[in-house]
Parts: sequence; C-alpha cells; structure tokens
Amino acid sequence: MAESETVLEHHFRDLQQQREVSELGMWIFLMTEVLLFGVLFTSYTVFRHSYPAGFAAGSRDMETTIGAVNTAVLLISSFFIALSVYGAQTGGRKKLLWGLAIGALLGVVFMILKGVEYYDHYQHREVPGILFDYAKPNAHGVEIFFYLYFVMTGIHAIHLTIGICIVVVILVAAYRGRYSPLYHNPVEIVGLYWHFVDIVWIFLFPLLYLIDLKR
Amino acid sequence: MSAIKMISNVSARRYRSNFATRLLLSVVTVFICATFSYSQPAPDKAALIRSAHIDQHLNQQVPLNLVFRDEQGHKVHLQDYFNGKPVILSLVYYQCPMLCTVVLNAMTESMSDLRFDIGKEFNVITVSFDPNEGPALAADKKELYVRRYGRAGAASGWHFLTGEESQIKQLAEAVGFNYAYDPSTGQYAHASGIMVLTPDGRLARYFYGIKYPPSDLRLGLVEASAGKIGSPVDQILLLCYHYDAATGKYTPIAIGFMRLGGAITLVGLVGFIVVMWRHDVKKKALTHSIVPLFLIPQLIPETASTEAHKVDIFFYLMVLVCGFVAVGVITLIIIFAVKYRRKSEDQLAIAAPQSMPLEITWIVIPLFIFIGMFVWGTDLYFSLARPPQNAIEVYVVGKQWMWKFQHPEGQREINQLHVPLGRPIKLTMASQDVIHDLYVPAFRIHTDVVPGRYTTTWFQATKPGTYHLFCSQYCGTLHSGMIGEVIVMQPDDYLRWLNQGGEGSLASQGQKLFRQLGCNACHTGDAEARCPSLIGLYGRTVYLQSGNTIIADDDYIRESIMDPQAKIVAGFQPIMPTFRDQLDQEQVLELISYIRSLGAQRQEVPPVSAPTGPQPAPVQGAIQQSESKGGK
Amino acid sequence: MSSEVIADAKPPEVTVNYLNEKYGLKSWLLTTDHKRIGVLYMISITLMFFIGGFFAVLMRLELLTPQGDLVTAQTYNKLFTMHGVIMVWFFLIPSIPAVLGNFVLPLMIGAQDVAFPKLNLLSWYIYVVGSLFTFYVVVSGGVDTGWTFYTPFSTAGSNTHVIATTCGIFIIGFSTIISGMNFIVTVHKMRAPGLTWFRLPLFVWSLYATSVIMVLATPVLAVTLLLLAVERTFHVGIFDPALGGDPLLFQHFFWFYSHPAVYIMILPGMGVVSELIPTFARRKVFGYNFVAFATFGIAFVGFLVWGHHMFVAGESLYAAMTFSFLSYLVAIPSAIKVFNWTATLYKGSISYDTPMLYALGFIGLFTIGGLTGLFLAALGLDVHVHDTYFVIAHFHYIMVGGMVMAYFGGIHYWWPKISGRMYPEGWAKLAALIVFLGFNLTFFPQFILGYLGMPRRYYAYAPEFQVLNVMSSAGASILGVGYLLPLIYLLWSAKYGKKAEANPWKATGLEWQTSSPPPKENFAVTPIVTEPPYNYPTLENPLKESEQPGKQSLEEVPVG
Repeated sequence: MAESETVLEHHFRDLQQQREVSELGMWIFLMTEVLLFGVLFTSYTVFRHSYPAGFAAGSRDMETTIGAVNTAVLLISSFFIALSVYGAQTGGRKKLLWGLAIGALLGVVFMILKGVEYYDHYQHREVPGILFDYAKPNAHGVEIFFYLYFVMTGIHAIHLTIGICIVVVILVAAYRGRYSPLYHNPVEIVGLYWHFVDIVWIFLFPLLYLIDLKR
Repeated sequence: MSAIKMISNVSARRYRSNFATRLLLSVVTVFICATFSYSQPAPDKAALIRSAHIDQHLNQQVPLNLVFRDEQGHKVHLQDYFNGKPVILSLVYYQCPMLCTVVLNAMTESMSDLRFDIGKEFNVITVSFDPNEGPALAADKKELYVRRYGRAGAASGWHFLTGEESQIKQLAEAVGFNYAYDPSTGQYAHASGIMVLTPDGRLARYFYGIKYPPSDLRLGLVEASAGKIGSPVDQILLLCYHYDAATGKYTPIAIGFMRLGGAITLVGLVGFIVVMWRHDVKKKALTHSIVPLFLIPQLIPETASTEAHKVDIFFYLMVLVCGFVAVGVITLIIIFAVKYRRKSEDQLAIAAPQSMPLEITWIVIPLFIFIGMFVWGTDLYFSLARPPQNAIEVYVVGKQWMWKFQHPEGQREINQLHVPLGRPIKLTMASQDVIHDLYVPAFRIHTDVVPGRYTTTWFQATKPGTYHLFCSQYCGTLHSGMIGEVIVMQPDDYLRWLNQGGEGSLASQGQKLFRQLGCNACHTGDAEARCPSLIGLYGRTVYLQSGNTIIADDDYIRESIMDPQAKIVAGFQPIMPTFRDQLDQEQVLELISYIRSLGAQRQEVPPVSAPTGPQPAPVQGAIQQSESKGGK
Repeated sequence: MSSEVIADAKPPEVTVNYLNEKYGLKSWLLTTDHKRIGVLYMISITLMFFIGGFFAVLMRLELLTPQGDLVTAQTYNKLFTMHGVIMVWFFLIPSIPAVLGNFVLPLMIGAQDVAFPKLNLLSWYIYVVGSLFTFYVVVSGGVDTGWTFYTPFSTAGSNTHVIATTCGIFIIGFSTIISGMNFIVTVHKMRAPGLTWFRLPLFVWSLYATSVIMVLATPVLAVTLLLLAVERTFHVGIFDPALGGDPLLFQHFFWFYSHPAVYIMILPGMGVVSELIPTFARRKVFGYNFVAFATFGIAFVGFLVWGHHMFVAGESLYAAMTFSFLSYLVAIPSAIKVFNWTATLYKGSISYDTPMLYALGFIGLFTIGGLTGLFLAALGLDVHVHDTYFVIAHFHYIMVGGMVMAYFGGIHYWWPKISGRMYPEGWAKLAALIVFLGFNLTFFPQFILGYLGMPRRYYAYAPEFQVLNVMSSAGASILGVGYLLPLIYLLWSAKYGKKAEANPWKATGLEWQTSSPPPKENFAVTPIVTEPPYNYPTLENPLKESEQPGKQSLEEVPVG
C-alpha cells in the first residue's frame, strides 16, 4: 500500500474510488464534446440542405486521398493508444511506452497531412474569410462549405493537438515509471479522449470528403 | 362535463377528512370548470323559441294549492310534492309528437348524470298542459321514464300529473310558460324548458332548450335547496358560477372569482386587477361569456382590430385563472404560516402522511388546464398567422431606423401607414439590414422582420384613429426611435388619400425596373428563351434541376433574383447573374409585385415546356420580345 | 489523512477550522478546499452582482422620463447589454452552484471535498479571467448588442466590443462546465456510506440536475459564440443572410443553450428552498420523490422548449405549436414543486427566521413568475407580449424574485456555517422585507407596461407609459437599499457577530453535524447515514436527543 499512499489524493477513500471518479469525469467531459461538435454537425446539416449543389461542388475540391490516408493514420493511432492502455493495465511497460509513442507520432503525421491540405486549399484560394475566390457557380454554397470545413476540421485539429500534448506528458511520466497496474488512470482517460477525437474524424471524413464522388 | 363530475366525486368521497387536500382540490376544480364552460359552444336557441316562449318569473311563488290528478287518478295538491326538497318542474303534453318527448328525454339524461337521486335529494313534477289528457296516459309516460331513469325510488319522486284547464292555466301563468293551441295541426305551439323550484315553491332557475347540462342542473338544485344538498365544493362552484338569466345557463363569472380571491390580497396583484371587471352582455358574439374590461384606461392597451378582441378575451381569462392560482397558493401559504407558526422553541410538527392521490391530482388537473390554454392559444395564433384571401397587400421594408411602406397602388410612406377601416391588410415584410420587428400593440400583431426572407402578418382595423407602431426587436442605437404610426381611415378617406398622386402602381414601377435591368432580354416569355418564362409564375409549382419542386412565392422569387444559382429551374442553365448588389429591398419588392401582376396560374406546368401562347398580361407589352442588347 | 486531528464534534473554544487553518493571501489563492473556493466565488460574484445592479439602477433612472435625457441612446443600449451579460453569466448562473453548491455540497454528502479539487480552483480562475474580459469591455466602452447577441446585428451591425464580450462568456463557459462535471462526479462517487440517492437532500438533487444542464448546454453556447466571433472577424459565416447564412439558426443555437440556462439559474434556487422549508417548518418535505423527479423533469423537458423564444421570429406554425405544447409540459414539474412546498407547511412548526422569509417570498414570487410564463407559452398571447416589458417582468420574477431570493435565503441559512457567526436577525428581517416590497414595486408595473405594449430595450418611450415606469424606478431604488443592507450587516457579522453553534437551526443534514465553521477535512470521521432525509421528530414520533439525525453515527467509522 506504500505506493498507493503516494498516488491517492487526500479526499478519496481508496484507489478504486479515485479511478471511478476520474473515469466518470472523462465520460462527462466527452458528453460536452459531443454537444460541441453537435452544433457544427447541425450547421452542416442545415446548410447542406440549403446548398446541396454548393456542398457537392466544395466536396469535389477535397483531397480525398489525403483524407483517406489520414483516416487510416488515426485509426491505427487509436489501436496503439489502446495497446498502451492494455500495457498499463497488465504492467507491460514496453506496450505502454511504444503504444503512446507511436500513437503520438501518428497524431503528428495526421497534423502534418492536414497542414498540407490546408496549404493546398490556400493555394487554390479556398479559405473563406482570408483568401477566397471562387468563380464557378454556387459560390455561396461553396464558401459556406469551406467555412464549415475549416471550422470543423480546425476544432478537430485543436483537439488532436491537445491530445498529442497530453499523450507526450503521459509518455514522460510513464517512462519515469509513474504508472502501475494499480494506478494508471491518466493513461486510461487519455485513451478515452483519443478514441473520441478519432471517432469525430470518422464522422467528418465522409461528410466532408465523400458526399459527391461522381466526378 | 364528466370531468367536473369526476373531480367533485373524487373530492367529496375520498378526501373528506383532509382540510388541506380539500381546499387545494376545490381550488383546482374551479379552474377546470371555468376553463371547460368557457369553451362550450353556445346553444342554438333561436330555433327553439320560435312558436312560444317562456317568461322568467324568477323568485315568484307558484300557487301550491292548485289541484291536479296523479297517475292513478287521485286528486292531489301541488304542495303534496313540496316536502323540503327542490323540485324540477316540466310542462309538456303527453301526446306531443316531438318536442315534449325531447324535453323529457333530455331531462332524464341529465338527471341520470347527477349524483342526486330523484325522490331523495329532489322531486320532479311533469304536468300536462293539455286538459284532454288523463291519468292513463300519464301512467304510461311515468312507467317509461322511470324505467329509463333506472334508479330505485324514482317512482315515488317523479310525478306525472294531469288536470283541468283552469288549474293548468294558473300554473302556466305563474311560471311564465306560454303556449297556444294550433287548430290547423291539432298540436300545441310551446317553448321547451324546465324550471327548478325551491322547496317552498318559488321559481329558482329556468333551463331553456333541449339540453340541460348536468352541472348546471346540479348547481340549480343546490342553489334552490339553499345549500341543503350538495358538497362544499358545489358551494364554491356556486360562488364562481353565475346564473345567466338570458341564456338559462350557469356561466362562471369574474365577480365570483375575484370575490373569493380578493378577500385575501396579494400585494400588488389584486391591487391592480381588482380594478373591477364588468359584465358586458351587449356584445352579441359574447353573450355566453363575459368580457371583463378594465375601467381605468391606462391599464389596457387600445383595442382596434378584429383579432385584438380575441386576444383580450383570452388574456383576461388567463389573468383570472392564473390570478386565482397565485392568490390561492399565496393565501394557503399565509394561512399555514400563521396557523402553524412555532409557538414555543421546541414545538414539533405534526406528522402528515404523504399522499399519492393528492400528488396525482395536482399533476393531472394542471395538465388539463394547460392543454386547454395550449389549444386556445394555438388556435388564436393560427388565425393571427393566416391572412384572409382578400387582404390588401402592403409591402414593408425595415431598415435602421425607419419603416418604409409600399402600397400596391404605388403610394410610399415612411414611418406612417395609412389603411382603410374594415379591410384585412396583409403586410409582407423584409429587412434591409438587421432583424427588426413590426409591433402594433393596438392590433396585437407582432412579427420579426428578418433579413434574407419575407415574413407576413395581417390585421383588420375596427376603429379609426392613430396607433403606435414600434420596432420591438433590438436593432441598434436608435432602436427606440424606430417608431411610427398606423393611421386607420374611413374607406372613403383612404381612397382620397390614395389618389393624392404617386408614381403609378407598384407593379408598373417594377415593370420599369425590369426593363432598366434588362431582365426582359432573357426572360422573354418564349419557349426557346434561355430563361424560364415569368408569366403565370407566381404561386405556381416550379420543377427544379435538383428534382425538387417549389412553390413560386415571394421568398422564392426574391432568392432567384439575389442568389440565382441556388435553385435552377429544370431545363435551364445557371447563367443568370446575381442582382444582390444592385437592388435594395424595396426594388426587389417592386419586381416581385410586377411578376405577380403577370398572373397567377392555377395549373401546374410540366418541366421545360414554358407556356407558349400569349398570356393576358395586365401590364401591356411587359414581356414582349425585346431587341435590347442582352441584359447583365 | 495526515496532519491535524479534530478530536471532538463539540469544538473547544478555539478550534482549527478551514478559515483559520492557514493565513495569508497565498493560502487562499492556491487553496483546493471547496469551502475556501466557495468563499472566493462568493466575493467575486458579489462584486459582479453589484456592478450589474449598478447598471440596472442607471437604466431605471434613465427610464424615469419618457424622452430619455440622462444618458444617450447608445449608452443606454450598452447599459442593458452589460446588465444582462453580467447578471446572467457572471451572477445568476454561477451564484448558487458555485457559492453555496461548492461550499455545502461536499458537506451535505459527507465528503471531504469535491471530486476534482484542483479543477475546482481552476474553474474559479477561469471565472476571474472571464470577468477580466468583461471589466475590459466595461472600461473600454461597452457593448451594445443586448445579451442575446442576435445576428446579423452582432456580426455586421454593431461596432462595439462584441468579440471581447463573447470571449469573456466563452471563457466563463469552461468554468461552468468544470463546475458541472465536478458536481456530477461528486454526487455519483463521493457520497458517504449509507447515503443512497433517495436519502440525498433535495438541494443535492437540484445541483445534480443543474450540473447535467451545465455540462450539456454550455458547449453549445461556446461554439455558437465562437462562430459568431469568427464571422464578425473574417466576414464569412453562417449567421448573416448577406453571407448566405441564416440568422434564425443563431437564435436556435443561442436558445438551445439559453433556455436550459434559465433552469441552471432557477433549479438551484428551488433546491435551496427545498432545504429551507423543511428546516423551518421542522417537517419532512411533502412528496420528496415528486420534488426530486420534478427537478429532473424540468431539466429534461427544459432542453426541448427553446423554440418558444422564437414564436414571432418566423419559425413555422407547427414548430411553434410543438414548442408551445412542450412549454406547458415543463410548467407541470414547477407546479408540482410549488404545491409540495405549500403542503410541507401544512401542520408544520413554522418559524420566521430570515431564511424562511426569503423562502416564503420565493414561493409567492416564483408562482407569479411561473404563471405569467403560461401567458408567454400561449402562442396567441405571446404574439402580443413578446419582447415587451411583460417578458422582462416575467423573467425578473423568476430570476430576481425566485433565484435571488433563494440565494439570499441560502446565504443567510448557511452563513453560520460559512462564517461561524450569526447574522443580526433584526436587520436581516428588515432587509428581506425591503427586498420583497421593492421587488414587487419594481417589476409588477412592468407586467402592465408589457400588456400596454411598451417594447423592451427602449431608451425613450411614449409618454403614456411614464407613470408605471416611475413606479418601477421607485421600486428599483428601494430594491437597491434592500440589497445593500445584507452586504453591510453580513460583513459586519463576519467579524462581530455572535458565535454560531454547530447546528443553530436544529436542522437535519450532514452539514449541520460538523462544527461551524467546519474543519478543513469537513468531518472528523466519515459519517454514516442511516436515515431518510429531513427526518424531523414529530409530535407522534418525538426522537430522543441521542437519536437525533446523524449524531451518533459521526463517531463510528474512522477515516481511511
């Protein structure tokens, strides 16, 4: 119990309570996130209904290949994060460290690819509010499509960036041997968070990239 | 009505011992009764009081020494039947082919719905006013109706009498029942109705027609008995229901409510509301309900449109119902707080059990009241939202911080709207910049004016005068300065006003604009044209490229001008440029008005094939082919 | 548990408690003790309350005359906007949860602290940062969009500090979310042994329901305001029709948050009243289960009624109909509560201590506020009174007459626990009376003004409205005095007041079983709960002193 004394915060009765608390807290936080993205998805639905042609046209200008690769990258990263949680639970130090490291790395890859895409859109003058020039019909719809694209993927990217930072922090702590099968809440809740960010992308990808594939 | 019965049954039987329960329950009961009886349809009495009529001799003594014969042929005095109970009296004749049977049936039906039993709480006397009828006929009838009524003991309480002409005449005169023999048909012409008499033979209540709502009948009996029968809830009901002599019904009245609640004052609320309600029987449409009117003019807004009256009636009813609840709750709190105050430091409370039925009562009853309010409010809203077909259309443009009005005849005004009395006016509104809201308190209309779409509202003024027009959606610095007035004029004056010049009708201004912008270069009205024909477009179903259809209304036309790519008509190319930056809202409205004047076609036109033949266009030469060198 | 041990539930003369355990600014600014955080919140919220109140006073002064000659139109617009923003987000929403909830909730459920003490402190700092933004806005010239930020005026029309204001609200949103999360987890996981859900005090129930709303609704506002700020900055977006957007969508999003937010404000108030009434009537709450479930009924249905703010905004007839119906539905649970409170008084042993006066005032005023809500839910009537002073009066009856009354009641009720001192009863009663009278004089005339047709947010108005406006302004000045009095005597009593016992009201509830003020760890030993809530002795069943709720259970189980 010597170890548990150091990690048990003063106001909890035992580690069990502490773990349950942190997990429930994370789930509730994820609930708020659902509502946050809910607003964006609702806006998307409303305007896709108003400007079907504009949205289709906007979607045609997406780099579907990069999007698909990014989807794969995130899914694989989720696998490694899950692996690290498993490692933390069972005391597999290698799994824990490598899982976190590769997960974070793939997150970074995703961000780089996203950056490439953003730059590409900038080159094509498709960034509403900053540089937007669209000569073809349905300019309004396309503009709103790109606006929502940047807002949605942007907020997603912010979430992922935060996720990467936390994973790195956890990685350092794990390297220093902070976690054990007895105490590894931080790994578990960062795992939850990571999967959530992943799931959001799973929704974003088809809605933004795949709505009009007949070219 | 069964709701009332149910509630009072429940209250009377189940919670007899519990003071709080009872009080609360009676409070809610009253609301529900009030709500329901307000929504009763008015009876069609015109048909009923055609041949003869009943004069009310309220509170007069009926001679109880009159002599009749009972079903067995024995001589009886009327007073034999007045033994400390109220009496329902009906005058019929037994061979009557029609109305009397209906009266007896309705009586039986109503009485079957009462908690009171014939013979126990009250007696019934049915007297034939045909002197030629005898006890045998009476006995038949008695057997029939006693069986139909179906409760034990009725035979000893319901008496079917016959008698001599002199006696009948005296009785009929005393109660004000007029009838006449019609030799041509061999029938009597007479009114239908029944009376409730007090135990000592005075006329307490009349009920007209062929329907006697059980609740009214019950209240009549309770009142006639001077409180000897019925539950305390009935007494409270009587306080709140008022017998309306004109219709022979019990109607809930404000006075009753206020008397009950007013005794205990809520600081403020009653101070203002108690300012007297007035019984307004003059209003024909409202004979059956009561229009309470504030006497202090400062407390009510002007009422100057057809809908305003309806809103007011609803509002006052809501004030009554809600005021009653508020006063009730606050009264209870005060009573409890005083009655159960802590008298010594260690005084303990008295344990009182939880009560499931009570909880359910105060869930279910408000629910019903709320549904009533919801239905009424929604009904009102729908009538406020749907302008009549024949309305004059006035276009309104709101911009920071002024109102612009365009009459169909071409008149334009700023911050003033002239309208004729007694004609429905439909306002179609657009905003140039931010959201505004057109609000005319005297008409009780209130609609947001939203940029990017048209909203509508309507009114029909009932009183000439000048009324406030407010912007009530906050719209920036001078929001409170975005006010104007609506001037309601006599139709003649309005015509005179209209003829004071102007720039030609709105449609003709639109036509001018249509040409100026070169719209006619493409919208030629030809089958081969690059753009769809606009003739007969307004109100038609349009087939779109996307496969959807849309009705060509103001909003659609506006969108097609401002954002032409949004909805492409099937069979056409998206070649039209936007006019977003060239037109202001007023000009768009002119164009719409012009397109509208090109005729609304009923038939749906199949896609692509634009109508070919020449259409009667009210504005001559509007759509003729133009040689102009292509519009923008 | 490490250092000090509180030996006895009955404290000796000088005890170590959360207030004197450590001194110095740093010990306060870095504290993770929920009680100290509650006090920090109390100080900051009081400040915001008086700033918001000051704006209200200026507004009422301006409205004394119809032509508007005290301030300019633009200033007036800024006044009501700042009044709304500060009162809604910086006072009403955090007040009871963050002050009383933070202080009392862990005590009520026998916990040592909330689930996430550090996040709790963080939420206060976020609150402070949000307030700083608001101060900045106030100092640098204000904002004039109205607290509702309707587009396109807020994105394209106004040239004031819209973005700074929305930033402040965006930031404080996180404070709300964190508090909500913290409370939900605390109630779920930190309850003392034996404290089952149906033994929870009703205040805990309502804080729980409130927290659910906070957690679910606030992110919607956050994103909406974010989109608004983006749209205003980059002139691209989805709310301005000139950009191809839809202004009604903004209203939908805004009210999807702001209507439930109304319940964030009132539910904790109802919770406080549900504590006060049984305590001062010495009687179990009538229909405990119904009151508890009504709380959740309100929280749930409250999410489905936002459209009733848009009856005249051009929403479809059938949408309006649905929202109207649901609005009536949400009135049912409120009615249940009022009836149950009233029934709780029946056959009680009622004392008129100040908190009880506030509670009784609450029921009366809330009833009026709620009933006038029925007027607004009725479609046909709403058309007339929408955006008039009728609406203003309605929500001030709920918010000021309801929520603020409950807050003051709660502050007085728990003041002995918070400060360890009794407030001066005479002054407190006087203040309660002044507040009640001043409030009614201020807001009742506004119902009539509304029905007469005076639109809200008017800087100058038609002369026929003046009499009622003067009455209202007169009431406001009385109300102002009523609010200043408690500030003075409570501050005074914190130093000079009579020392409070552990349980001055002889109330049930775990918070009264520990000393006043409580030690840092709240309880010397973890309490074990064996009884239903509000288990007051009655005439039929008078408990002996030793059997009084919770007493002996305190000493049974040592901590960890």
